[in-house]
Amino acid sequence: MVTMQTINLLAEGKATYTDGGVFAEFAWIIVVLPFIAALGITFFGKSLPLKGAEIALGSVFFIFLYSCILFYLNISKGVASEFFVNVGSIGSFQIEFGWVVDGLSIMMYFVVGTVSLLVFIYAINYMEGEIRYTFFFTSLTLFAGSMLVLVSAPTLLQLLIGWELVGVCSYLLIGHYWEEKENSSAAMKAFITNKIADVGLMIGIIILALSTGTLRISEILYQATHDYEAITAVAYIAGILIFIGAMGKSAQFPLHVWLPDAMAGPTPVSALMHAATMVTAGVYLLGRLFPFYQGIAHEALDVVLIFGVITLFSAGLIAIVQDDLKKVLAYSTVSQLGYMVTAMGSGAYTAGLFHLWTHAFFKALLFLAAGSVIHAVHTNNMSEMGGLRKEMPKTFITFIIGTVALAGLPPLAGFFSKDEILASLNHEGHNLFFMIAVAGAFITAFYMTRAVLLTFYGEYRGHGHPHESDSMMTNPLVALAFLAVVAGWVNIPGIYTGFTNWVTTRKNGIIEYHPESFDYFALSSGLFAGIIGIGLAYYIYQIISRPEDGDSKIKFQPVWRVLENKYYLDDFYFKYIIDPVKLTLSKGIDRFNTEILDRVINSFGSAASYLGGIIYNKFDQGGIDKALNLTSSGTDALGGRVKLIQTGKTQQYLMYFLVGVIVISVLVLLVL
Amino acid sequence: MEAEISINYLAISSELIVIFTIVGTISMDLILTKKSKYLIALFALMGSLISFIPIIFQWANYSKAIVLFEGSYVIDKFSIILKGLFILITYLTFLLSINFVESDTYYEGEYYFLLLSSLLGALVVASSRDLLTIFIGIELASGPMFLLSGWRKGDPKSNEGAIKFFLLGVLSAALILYGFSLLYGVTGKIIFSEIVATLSALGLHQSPVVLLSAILVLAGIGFKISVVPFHSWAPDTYEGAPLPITAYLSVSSKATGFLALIILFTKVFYESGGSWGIILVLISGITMFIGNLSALQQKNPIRLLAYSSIAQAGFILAPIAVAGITGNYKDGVYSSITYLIIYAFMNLGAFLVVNILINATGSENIYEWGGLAKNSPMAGIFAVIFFFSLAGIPPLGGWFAKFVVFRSLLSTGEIFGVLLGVVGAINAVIALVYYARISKIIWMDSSIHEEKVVTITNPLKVVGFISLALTILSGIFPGIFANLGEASAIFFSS
Repeated sequence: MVTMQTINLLAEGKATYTDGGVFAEFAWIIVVLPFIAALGITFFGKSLPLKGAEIALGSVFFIFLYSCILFYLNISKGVASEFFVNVGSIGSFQIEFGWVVDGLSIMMYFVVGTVSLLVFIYAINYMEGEIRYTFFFTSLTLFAGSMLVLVSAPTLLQLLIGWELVGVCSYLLIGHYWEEKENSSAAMKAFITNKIADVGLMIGIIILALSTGTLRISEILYQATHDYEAITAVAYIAGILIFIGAMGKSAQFPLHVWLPDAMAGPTPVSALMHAATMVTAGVYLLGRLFPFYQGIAHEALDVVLIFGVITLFSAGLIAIVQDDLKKVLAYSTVSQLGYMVTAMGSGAYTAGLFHLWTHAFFKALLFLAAGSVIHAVHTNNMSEMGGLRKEMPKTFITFIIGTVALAGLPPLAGFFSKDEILASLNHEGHNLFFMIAVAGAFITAFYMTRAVLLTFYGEYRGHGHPHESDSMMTNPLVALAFLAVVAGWVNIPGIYTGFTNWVTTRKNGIIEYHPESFDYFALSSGLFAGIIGIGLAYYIYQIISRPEDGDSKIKFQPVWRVLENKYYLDDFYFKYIIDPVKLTLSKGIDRFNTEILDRVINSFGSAASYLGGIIYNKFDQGGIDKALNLTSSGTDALGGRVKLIQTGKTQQYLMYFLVGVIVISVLVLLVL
Repeated sequence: MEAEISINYLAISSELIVIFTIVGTISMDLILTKKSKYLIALFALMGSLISFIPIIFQWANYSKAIVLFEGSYVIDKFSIILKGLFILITYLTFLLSINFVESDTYYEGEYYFLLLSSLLGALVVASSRDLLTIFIGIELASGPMFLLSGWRKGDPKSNEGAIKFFLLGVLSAALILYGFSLLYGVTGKIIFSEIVATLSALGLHQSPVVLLSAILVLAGIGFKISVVPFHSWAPDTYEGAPLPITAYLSVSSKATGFLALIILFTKVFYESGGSWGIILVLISGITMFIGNLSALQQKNPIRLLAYSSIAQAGFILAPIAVAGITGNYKDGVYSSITYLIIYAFMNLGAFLVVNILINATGSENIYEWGGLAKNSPMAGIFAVIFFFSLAGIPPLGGWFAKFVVFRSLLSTGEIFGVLLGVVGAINAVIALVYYARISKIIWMDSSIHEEKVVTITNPLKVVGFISLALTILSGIFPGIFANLGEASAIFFSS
């Protein structure tokens, strides 16, 4: 039943690429390994010296090494092939699992491998002495493994499985400190918001599969780029539905509400989730299906663009008013994901993935550095931090590097990737969106500078004496800081554009704009916005007020309030969607069941008994009737009670049943 | 047509073994002393296990459908699969029951006798191809359940539930019979193929008489599968019945009902699918909503599962409903049956979890089950796997089942199919809320019962592991259901 098939995808690529040889053939190991490791941790973890963390670390270290090899192969020769294992069929569909080894997936393997490795090292120290230490590493390993299942998927079916597994693992990890109700509620919120999106994705996938007759992504893309009729007909709706799926995982407005709450999880989880796994899944999916979107679903791509722009702007504004350091970073992630989705939407495939790539490193860095601060001061609130640059120099410097990278100052990573997005928006002539994206760059620089000033400058406002974290925690910071500096140098227009080649080993007919040299208008706008943002934040929080004052001196209080309440979106969901379902609709149905239907049936019943009464009085003997009346009035009180529990109901059920039959009969016989 | 003179006993050997076991259990009950009554349970277990053997051989050596009794009784791949399912479920129900039946003073022999009789009815339904046989099968399957659901004779709730179930059951039987009598009155035939031929000859497929007959049968069977508006008995009866019986009701009885519905509506009424299809679409959509929204409100785990199984019935019905409109019965039946089989094991598992936790805590309020996974991680894992599978989380079986149904609904391109797909999608999210909530309570909430020891007896472990294995395997190797597609093709060619 299980047969394997290899496909070399080079037919449409450049002839200089290879199939990856034996390393591509055995790439399944890195997908399976985390699951074996998770089993190992579960069964033997507690008896090991590091309580299972060594198994987790070993497995991600292997994944890291393997992804480095693949990465090297891809850089030197280019790799594109995929492997299928057939396990049966549903109707006419072949059910296949497998693994893809091409530029896009190799880039993701590398990001997942690198970030996971550093986060795992960090977590060993950070989580020390925390509750459920071993279980935490099981879940974390599974989390990375699920992401690899998703990334390696050559079929939509496997992609969907990985997709939902990532959701389940995030549920475990976000709710790690589940003794506090808030945390388990945050986990539920993430799970259910994601599930809403997943259903959209599932239906989108089924529509695609039905119209193409296959679940293989490469075949679907082939049909999409060769204008097959069936897939063209459903392209728009399928494109939108799949984007809904991407909106859930990649936290696009208005399905982003779960991500900031997901901060309830331990910091290493946040770092992994925001950088390498989970939130990048949506962008990856758009990238994987990009030929489909660009080829025949460009109307859907416009929708993608609009949501991306809304997200990057609105989430950035919310980040400005957060007091919780991790929440600043969380909204920043939402905003940066907005940039990536905007890029995809505007047709800039490479730019979107490039920003995913650079963002993974500097956002992981920022989260881990924030974790280091939180570890030292035991609070998330910036109002209780301050002045930490003296006590925690390593953390401070790496945080600054992350900030500068995110704010988009040259020559750090964020500068190049953000510039490419701005350049392509400018090139496509989306003037309004271009301006919003530039404004976004200003906002980004502003909130990050504010966070740095409130955390590291001024006087220490918390309790105790914070001190620098252990080297197990700071070394990953240094490594990530290095990457945050250099990661952008792989795609410099006019100088070296290796990254563009890496992620497009399968051309599949993607046509996109690649700037031959810097677009100096876009570049200077972005840079100018960033510098103004930094300057303004410095002016507000350092010159006209002191970090101790926080936001109290800000003039626009009403605007602040709207932002602090996240545009009242959570309230909206609760007030208009969740509560009505929970309180009104659901209760209503319950009441409908127990009261209204009963009442309807009662009135049927009383009508029937009224009729019965007439017949009885007129045609039957009055004597028995009177006796019955006496008895009934005598047992009235008792009857009133018993009725409530049971007796009446069975008759009602019977009536209910018959009314159902009659209604259906009338419907069928008269109406239809 | 060549008349069948000799009966092919091999083809019906499963049924014969079950009959032998039924007779055996009731005789043993007469002979054995109180002390050695446990032998009856053993005998029933063995009997149900042995009756599975012919199924394996029939499946392995299958060449073509065997037709018995002049077309009244057909053994094809389709019926073999379902018979296997019924036997397996009954076997697992026995395992669930052993400790329960031993723990009180009621008559053991009767319990097993009644359950086996119900199994026999289900087996008969799977093969029946005429009005009388299928009616006898349906009623033989549900009759014993009336008695079993009132098994806890000292408990008013049990009596109440059983009486309701019985009274509505009688009405349902009467409606089915009335529907059948209309068909018989018009055609004078009882074998399905002959009824269809006569109706075609008379051009009566769309006539009010036949439609009325279809509606009456639908109402009667709608009761067995507990779809709205024939569902009202289910929560009360489920709550009152002994837990193993509740599990059996929600799995095997429901499957029997669906099977009867499929056989009757795709073998007899298929020409008028356009009319009843729309009704089924309505019923299916409304059932999903009412079931899931009511389940959201429940604190009692059994009532929760009762409403959830009502909602699931709406979901199982959806492909058949759409198939009625499009006429692509093969695909609809394949999807429904696939869902039904996977649902059977995960739902059995869910009842197992509820059974374990109610016995451990004595509490029928899920909000008092906080942190029980700490007392018994195994129960906690069972809970997560089965409830997540019911919610349709991959790579568990329930997810694959949902995928198959959604595929079937959307593949028609029919507006009703797409509509039901959307309704199903919304309901998948609603259902996740309460399934995830109960798992969350068991794992994450603070414990009230820290001292309580959660015991899982060995028979329960067996049930748990078999259901667990099937739930997980069907998700990872959905290829095993490929055979079903073939089987449902055979069902329509025979």
